[in-house]
Amino acid sequence: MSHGGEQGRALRLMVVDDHPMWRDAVGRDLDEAGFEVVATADGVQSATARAAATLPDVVLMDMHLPDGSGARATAQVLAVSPGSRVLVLSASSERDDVLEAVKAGACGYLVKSASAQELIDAVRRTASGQAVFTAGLAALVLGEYRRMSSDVPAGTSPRAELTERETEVLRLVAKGLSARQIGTRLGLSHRTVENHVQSALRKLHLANRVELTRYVIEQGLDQGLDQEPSRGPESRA
Amino acid sequence: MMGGVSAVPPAPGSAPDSEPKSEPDNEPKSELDSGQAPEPLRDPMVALWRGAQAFRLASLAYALGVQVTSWQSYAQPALSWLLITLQVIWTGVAVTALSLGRRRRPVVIVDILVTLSLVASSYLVAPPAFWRTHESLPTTLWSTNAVISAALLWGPLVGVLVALPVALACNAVSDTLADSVFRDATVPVLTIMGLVIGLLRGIVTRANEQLRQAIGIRAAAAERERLAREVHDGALQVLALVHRRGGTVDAELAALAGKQERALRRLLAAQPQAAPPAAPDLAAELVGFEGPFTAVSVPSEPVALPPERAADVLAAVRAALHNTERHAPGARSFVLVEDLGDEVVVTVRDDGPGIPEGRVEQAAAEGRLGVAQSIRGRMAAAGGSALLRTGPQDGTEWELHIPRTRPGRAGSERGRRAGREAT
Repeated sequence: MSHGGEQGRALRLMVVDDHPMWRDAVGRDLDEAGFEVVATADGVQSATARAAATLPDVVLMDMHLPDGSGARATAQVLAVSPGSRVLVLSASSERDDVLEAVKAGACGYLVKSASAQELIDAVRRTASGQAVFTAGLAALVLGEYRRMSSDVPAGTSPRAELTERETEVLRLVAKGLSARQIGTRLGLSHRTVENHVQSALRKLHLANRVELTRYVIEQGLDQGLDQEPSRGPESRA
Repeated sequence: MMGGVSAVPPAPGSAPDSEPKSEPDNEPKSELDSGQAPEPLRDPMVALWRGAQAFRLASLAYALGVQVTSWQSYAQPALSWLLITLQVIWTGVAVTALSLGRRRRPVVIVDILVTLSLVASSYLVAPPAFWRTHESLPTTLWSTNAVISAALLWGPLVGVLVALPVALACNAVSDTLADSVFRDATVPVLTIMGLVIGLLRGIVTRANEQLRQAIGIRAAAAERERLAREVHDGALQVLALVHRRGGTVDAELAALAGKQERALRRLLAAQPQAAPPAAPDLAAELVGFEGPFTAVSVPSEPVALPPERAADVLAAVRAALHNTERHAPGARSFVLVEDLGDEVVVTVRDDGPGIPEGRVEQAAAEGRLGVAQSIRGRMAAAGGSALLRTGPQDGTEWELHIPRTRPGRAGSERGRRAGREAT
């Protein structure tokens, strides 16, 4: 993280949602909690432009945008502001979109009906580099790894695979256990548990970038890559 | 082609006076008969009927040709001209009426009678021996029209039933009844015509019906999408907001708003389906259990399982959730669905106090069918297994394993199931 709230500076946030009432309400909650909402946006294009101008620490991203998907917005925001971390704030019924956004580099997911306190905690954790995983997202990510390992023939270079431990941890997250509970069950510190989740997410981002790059090269699109989202997420690593 | 004879017009009485297309509209019944319903999609049967009328005109040209070249050799040339005139008139009437297609049924009935009469009246124009040794009856080809019309209107069976008397009449007047089908092909050709046209009508009608259903489904989906957008942009946002603001509003109101929001989202997420798929998506079905105290986590791809096994899994999950509700009110439940390829794993966990030691055994000893038996029974029926993990720290966790392919026991299982369903 190149910039964040380490030295007591307020975390700088951007809220992306096409509904003004929702943006205002969330913005107010975050303001009250001591965050600084530096920008709001109602679509993919405005989010990209404002992220480039403000370089927010954390972006709260809705999946339902008038001019594109939240996944595209995530990729584009991270392309112009690689230091930002994206937290998806969306409805539980938009599962596939959420998975796409996470593959595109988002590092957390919270349902819109979460309480203000849950939201504030999630923003803090996201800013500090933790992954905000619900049980639902863990199940999606697990399913995605399983899909990749059955789709991609063995031996194909970089194949995204979870270690046994990572799978174990993700399964417990998907069963609704907290990091602390998982730590107790597996005899690990909850910090180690967090690391396993982070690592699962990082590999997924990487695999997604490799996939995108391969696609771009195959399609002969690699001249004029400038607006391609594939450059985005990983440059912070 | 077929055996036969000349342009012999019909018995005077059966003439084209009972004109059907006189009073057009007020008869929706006949419209249903021809396989159409009142909607914008064009009825493909209309095209078939029009094509048949083109053939009718062509066959009339053939009959006229025969008449012009042969009338001098007929025994009754004057009568032959009268009959061919009637044939021309009726052809005109039938072509017009059937192309417009308002009331086809009476037209087709009259068409059959006129055709039979015209064929029969060839007998008056020249003796059978003449027709047998000379060229075709002018009505032979033309009489096919009655068969085509009947088949188009009523299907293959009636097509064949009309073809037989028409063909036999042709054979009778030309003294070819006793001939084999190799010498005179009238009967096989006409009956095959009736059969094929009738089958064609069925195919076209069914295809049209399917097309109409598909259009309906598409329209419904589009409308649903529009509604979903509307609800998403309006009501849902407000509900979510009220729910979040719970502290400052009213806890009960907030909870209600949250509940409504979830219900609406579920409604929007459910896709309308034309027909239930052969192997239903277990994940989608389990998502139905989601609620204020229950989270359901599934992979993004559908988890297909044969319907009967899926039903057992659903019942087991329902039993587990029920049990939590009863014995640990307020505890949260988590359902996880995993597709491992050769098996499906469904985990149902709650964060309650767990099942006290000895409880399961106690229920069994008392002869009650406790939740454990019920879940294990369901899993056994599905050819899978159930693992229970419980403790004061762990809550209660059921891990259900359902194999994709059931080894060995499939036969006996099916038998047992059939027996159960029969009762």
